[in-house]
Order: sequence, then structure tokens, then C-alpha cells
Amino acid sequence: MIAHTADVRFRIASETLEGLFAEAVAALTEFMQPAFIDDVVSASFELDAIDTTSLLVDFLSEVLTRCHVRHEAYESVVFASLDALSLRASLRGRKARAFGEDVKAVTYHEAEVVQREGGWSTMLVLDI
Amino acid sequence: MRKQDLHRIHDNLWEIPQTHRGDMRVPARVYTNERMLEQIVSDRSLEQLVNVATLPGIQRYAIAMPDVHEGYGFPIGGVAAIDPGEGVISPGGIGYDINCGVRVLRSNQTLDDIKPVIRKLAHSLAREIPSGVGRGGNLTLTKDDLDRVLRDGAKRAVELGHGTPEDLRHIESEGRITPNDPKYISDDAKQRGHDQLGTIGSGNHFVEIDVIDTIFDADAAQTLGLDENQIVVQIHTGSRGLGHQVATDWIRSMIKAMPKYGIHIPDRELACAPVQSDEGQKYLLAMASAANFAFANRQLITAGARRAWSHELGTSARLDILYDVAHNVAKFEEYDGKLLLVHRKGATRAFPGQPVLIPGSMGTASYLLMGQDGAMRETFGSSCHGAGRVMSRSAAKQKINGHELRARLEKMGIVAEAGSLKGLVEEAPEAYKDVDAVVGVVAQAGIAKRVARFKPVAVIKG
Repeated sequence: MIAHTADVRFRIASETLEGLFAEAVAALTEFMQPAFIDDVVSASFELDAIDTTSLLVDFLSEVLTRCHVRHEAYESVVFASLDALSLRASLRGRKARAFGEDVKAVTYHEAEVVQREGGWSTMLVLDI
Repeated sequence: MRKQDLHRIHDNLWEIPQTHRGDMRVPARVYTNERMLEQIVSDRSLEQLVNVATLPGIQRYAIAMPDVHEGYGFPIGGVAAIDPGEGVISPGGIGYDINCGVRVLRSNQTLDDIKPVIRKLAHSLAREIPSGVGRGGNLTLTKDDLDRVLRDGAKRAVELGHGTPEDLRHIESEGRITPNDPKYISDDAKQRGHDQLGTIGSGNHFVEIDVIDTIFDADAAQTLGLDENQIVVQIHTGSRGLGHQVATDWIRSMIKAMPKYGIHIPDRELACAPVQSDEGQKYLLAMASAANFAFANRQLITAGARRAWSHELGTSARLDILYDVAHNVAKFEEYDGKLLLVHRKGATRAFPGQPVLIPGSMGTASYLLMGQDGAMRETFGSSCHGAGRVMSRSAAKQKINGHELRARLEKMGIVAEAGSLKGLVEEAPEAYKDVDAVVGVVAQAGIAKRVARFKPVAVIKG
């Protein structure tokens, strides 16, 4: 986690694109500090976007919306498909009684998914 | 950005010329003094302001106020006036917390009147007004009820018994922006907001009891019914999860739409669509609805404050609305005979004679200003909106001890009712700029004049 004057900024990285998306979910869940209750939950959805960066931000926004609307937090994600512009994802997690941190939104600010030797990485800024 | 990239126009105004970057459509201007400029160039707020200067249809200047700091896309403390005929609407220029704003309530008590019950008052306010992460309100709305709030704003809250028709006369736009249409607000957004009406939330939002410690303009203060030692209550919050989701939904929608309109921007967070496009028109209707939710939110919080007030001070104790103003919104306004769409992201409307409410950090001061002619000439009727952060929340948590902060506030005579020490620490006075200096710049620039200064005596936070 890297400081940002207004909000909170993460650098995430993984060897694979699937890993990068899963790391983003893990970072969001860890930051939100859910007070879990034991009811296991799952959710599936599809998304498309104009590029991979937008796909990641939109994906994480979708996860965040479900956290707020359903009072859930997610611990793992499986991708039935994931390419540069679309995905089909299944999330697994647990019900959350409350969150320790309020995240208003996942922003596109500074996000840029890049592939270099050794894997994928991006910055992510959360509006809190 | 380096300080030498800016040209000094006068002691309180600096300009980044249009030649600074090839894609700028207008110059960028920042209202600040030289000392604060040193701090401003240390983050990327001015790079963001240069990006704003590239938006299609922007008029005259991209403008930053002295409380400017780095946001995402737009800097916080930014103003952009757009020609609606050829230009764009950018949800990032309004922000995720649509119609985040400030309301000031004027009491008929002095500091001496409330001193014996100040802790009880703070506790009653905290009990009546839910705050903190994920805290729902005392009112859960059905979908139809919520749609009426989204259409009618504070007026609907008054119809439900949370205030009087007189209240509406003292709210910007009378607490209801039109045209609006709740059907352009997603079910997810409605679900996030359905139980949040009447709640402060977390972050930098608060309810605060203040005493007027200085009157700068006796005539203006008298007109507004203000005097030294009088107690006022400030409310700072916005459209909660509903507004956050509206912004998320429409930024995503506009990112997808931009290629269709041939729009290229330097930062995705500036995503935009022509004002006259289908996406632009629908976003404006959604934004107005979310803004109405925020006006209703502050109205319900006012009702909670009034219950606390009468419970501790008796039924003759009053809290009348002095004014309520948004600092995250876009509005159509006329300048030099031309209708423009003014984006204000962390900036306050400051029309001549209009109260301008500037909350400082807890432990310092807040200001009541009054808009001046200079705002109409230079800043599209806009002023600053607060002190402006200089320290990230994570840095504040590392550097400041919560117990010491609470003790320091107590020593200063400030009661803090906070849901968590973490929330208190994140908003410590040292995390913000010097509000006296920020206000000094807008006063010296002729944007708004100082009327009164408030000092906190009790802070209620999430």
C-alpha cells in the first residue's frame, strides 16, 4: 500500500492475468476489514470493457458493489474465462456483519495494467 | 510540476500557460500564495489541473482553489466551466460523493448556555445521528419512497415531517435540483442508499458544535443573524453510497462511450461525454437525483440535531438553517450572457451576497464567507471548500497517536465523539492545510469576504 494525499493506493502484481485480478480482490477485501460471519456465499457475473485496465477496474468495482449491496466479502475468485477485454468470474466468500473501512469506489486513476517480463502489474487507487 | 512552470499574475494568483502542454485548450490558474504554492507543487494536483484544461468546451481557464490537492482525474478544489453546446460533462468533475456539502444551523444559545451540558449535547447528537462505516439510518425507504426523495430532495424530507417549509428557503436550489430522473440511477445505487438517509458516514464527514469567536463583517453577520459567542452547528456529508455508485456507474458508461464521440483524454478518470449526448443528458438527470438525496440526507440530520438540542436544552432551544451549499456538483449558470455548465469538485458556489461555508479541520477553525463580485469575474462564481488535505490518511495513522490527539483536543476545550480513534486520527488538524491561509487567499483575491469564524467545541465523527 502506498500513500496518496486523498485516498489509498495499491501496487499489485502477479505472474498471470488471472493472478492479478485475484490479487486485486484480495487487496480490496483485506483493506475493507470485513467482520465475517460464517455464511458462505458465492456470486457469478460477466463483464466486458474497452481495454484490460478498464476490465480490471470495472471488475473490482463490481466486487465492491456486491460487498456493499449484499453485505458480503470475497476470499477467492475463479475465472471461467478471462481475456484482455472480457471475463466470466465466480466469487466465493462469506457474509460480513460490518466493514472496518468504507471504500466509496475503485477509481481508474493511475490504473494501467502492464505486462512485462515476469508478469502483470498495475496501480489501483481506492476512493475512501 | 515545478514552481517555475507557473507565472505569477499577482500575490494570490498563478498561471500555467496554455503552451505548457500541447493538448491544453485553455491556461490553468491556481489561487494561492507563494508559501502554499510550494506545498501544492509537491503533489500532482497541478498536473491534474492541466489535464482538466484539455476537456472539450472548457472556457477561459481550468481553475484551482487554494485548498487544492491531488484527487483522481480532477484535482480536489477544481473548477471547470464548459460550453454545453460543444463541450462535455465529466462525472469525475463532480466526484464520487455527489453533492457533498455543508449546512450550518444557527442556534439561539451562547457558549455559556451550553457549557454545562456540552458532553451531553455531543452524546445526544451522536445518538440521534448515525455515523461510521456502513451505519444505516433510522429510516429505511421502499423503492417508491426513495424515488420520491430522489425527485424532491429536502422537500420530500420536510413532507415526511423532518423540518419545515421555511427550511427550504435557506438551502441552495431550495434543496431540490431539477430536472432530475431517478430512473437513471441503478438498482445497485438505490440499494446502497436505501437505508443511509440521515447518516453522516465516515472519512472527513462530521457534525460539529462551534462557537463564533470572531466577527469580521458586522453588517453581514447581523443580516445573517450571527453574533460573537453564538453557537452554530455544522453538518458535512453528502449522498453516501448512493452517490458513490452513481458516479461509478456513469464513469464506466462514459469510458465505453468516448470512442463513439472521438473524445481522447489524458486520464480515464476524466471520462466524459458531450453534454448534449444521450449519456451526457442521462448523467445530468442521475446527478441531480443523487444531489437531491444528499439535500434530503442533510435535512434528516438537521432533524436529528434538533431532537438532540431540544432534549438537552429544552423546547425553546432553536436550530435554524443558516445555509446549505454543495461543493461537489455541476450546475448550469450564465456568465457574460452565455450559459455554461460549471463543474465544481471540492469548490463552493460563491455568488455575490451568498453565504460560503468553509469547514476547517477539527481543532482549528471554520469560516463563514460571503461571495464577492470577483468570483463572478474570475472564478465562475466559485470559492474554496475547506482547508484541503496535505497528509494521506495512512500517513496520519502512522504519525499521530489517537489517545494523544483526543487529550490534545480536550485540552483545547473540544469534546470528540468518534466511532473510532482511527477515524479521529485520519482527520487530525495536522493532516490539513492552514485554513486561515486558504481563506486569506480567497479574501485577498476578492472572491469571497470573511464574515465570521467558528471554533469547534464538540465534534461528532464516524
